[in-house]
Amino acid sequence: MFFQQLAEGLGAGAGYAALALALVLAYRFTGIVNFAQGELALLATYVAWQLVDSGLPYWAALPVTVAVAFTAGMLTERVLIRRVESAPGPISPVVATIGLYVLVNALAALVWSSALRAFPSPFPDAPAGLAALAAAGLAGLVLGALALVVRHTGLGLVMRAVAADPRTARLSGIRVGQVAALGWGAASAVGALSGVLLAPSLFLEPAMMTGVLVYAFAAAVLGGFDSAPGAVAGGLIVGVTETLCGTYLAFVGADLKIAVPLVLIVAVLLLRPRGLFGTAPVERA
Amino acid sequence: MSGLRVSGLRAEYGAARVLHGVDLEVGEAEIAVLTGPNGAGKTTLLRALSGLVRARGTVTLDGVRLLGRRPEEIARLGVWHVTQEGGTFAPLTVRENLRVGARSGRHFAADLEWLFGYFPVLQAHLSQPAGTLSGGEQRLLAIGRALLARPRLLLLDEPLRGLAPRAEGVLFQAIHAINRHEGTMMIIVEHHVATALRIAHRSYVVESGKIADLRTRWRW
Ligand SMILES: Nc1ncnc2c1ncn2[C@@H]1O[C@H](COP(=O)(O)OP(=O)(O)OP(=O)(O)O)[C@@H](O)[C@H]1O
Ligand SMILES: [Mg+2]
Repeated sequence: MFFQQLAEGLGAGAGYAALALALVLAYRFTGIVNFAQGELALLATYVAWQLVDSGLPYWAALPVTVAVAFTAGMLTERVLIRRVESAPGPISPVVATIGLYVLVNALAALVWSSALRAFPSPFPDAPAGLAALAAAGLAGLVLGALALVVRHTGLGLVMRAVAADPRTARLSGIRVGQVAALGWGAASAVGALSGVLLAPSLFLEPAMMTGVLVYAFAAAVLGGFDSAPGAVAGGLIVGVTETLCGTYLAFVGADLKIAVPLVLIVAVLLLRPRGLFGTAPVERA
Repeated sequence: MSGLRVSGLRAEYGAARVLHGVDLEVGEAEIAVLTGPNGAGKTTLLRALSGLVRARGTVTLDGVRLLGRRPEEIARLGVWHVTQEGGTFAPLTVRENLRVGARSGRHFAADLEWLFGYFPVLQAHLSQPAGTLSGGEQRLLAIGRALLARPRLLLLDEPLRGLAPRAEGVLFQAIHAINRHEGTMMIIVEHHVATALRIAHRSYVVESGKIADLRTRWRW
């Protein structure tokens, strides 16, 4: 029973981790918190559902979905974020992402209605606990591959340079705009993974990612908001804590589960404002 | 048409006009030294050339117009600007810093060896994050990055700032070597005039946003 819960917590946590990582990526490349990240993932999940519904096998629909999400993320950066980025103050771009959130959400409801839809599991024949673990493993695989690219390729080096200091990157001849778009594309692709992994247990509907976004924010804050490994670890911690609290703390139950990440956020901000994994700015004291 | 030609360069920050029509030239393989009082507009002049501030007038490098382009496009045309501060990526290691913008992988190892001949201190800290280097080491790293990029035109804003006297000499040796071997054109803004003039082919004095009328202008 405990291990079953733990496995399910890790499975859910992998989904939160993916969206948290998406938030962190978008933030690192443009300094903007993308409130529409969950809705972009929702859109991608509907695309996946549509593909599977029209007869495409699951494992063929997945890469197509990720590619669509990647493109959507890049377009969002190029078309929306770049235009509002130069507006004075840090608020305008964030408000723009909230606008996008509302827009995408309404669009999803319009196109696919607000009906609950069953979404296929990647491992339909495995018992629930094992399927959750396998889903977590799948997420781990994808995130690991992403980490390899970022750590060990020339493109990854360029991306890290842009995230570290856009001005110096420009003066080094790096087309910062294109790299930022690439970063948003990667963020959106990782976010899509979150939607696809969580949809089998949450059921697909326009509000599906709303709660997930809260969990993902908790995970990202837990991880320090600027740390990719931190976001992943944060997601797993949130997933496991939420599941175990929901099961073992009678007063929490199913209704109060959503409060768990909020309590975590407040606790982390009070005890360790930089997050569990947040990097101290690399500077000499 | 080769070389850098600047004429009638004007720039301002909001309502504050800083450059009032600057004219200057840097010929093929020449080093020009820029001096002048604090606030004269030297840094702004370099920023205008590298696209960091908007400016009007005419600037051509080997006949190609630079004004109106983004900094990254100007950099891709061969202009490398080492700003008055910064110029490194704090969380990246020294090695990674040197890699960004450097010549292709084939040359990289040899170029590194060359650089370490002048700045062994960078080799000693190769896998350390740049942000944890000392002030002078960071300065050397920023300039080392510029030298590895083998630009056509190198803009150096107070390269000696924060360097110990020994490092000053070595730095100018490295700069001079690149200038001679690669024919790199340079504009060096420097208050340590005597040191800078030792490797200069020409010099300009900037005063209140203009090249001073009584311009000392040597050629040799
Ligand atoms: N970002 C800015 N916004 C407004 N004014 C600026 C800005 N940067 C520089 N200035 C002003 O422009 C003028 C020229 O500055 P600049 O930095 O070009 O001088 P400088 O010749 O490099 O001086 P120094 O030798 O002290 O470095 C100064 O009066 C300065 O106050
Ligand atoms: Mg200056």
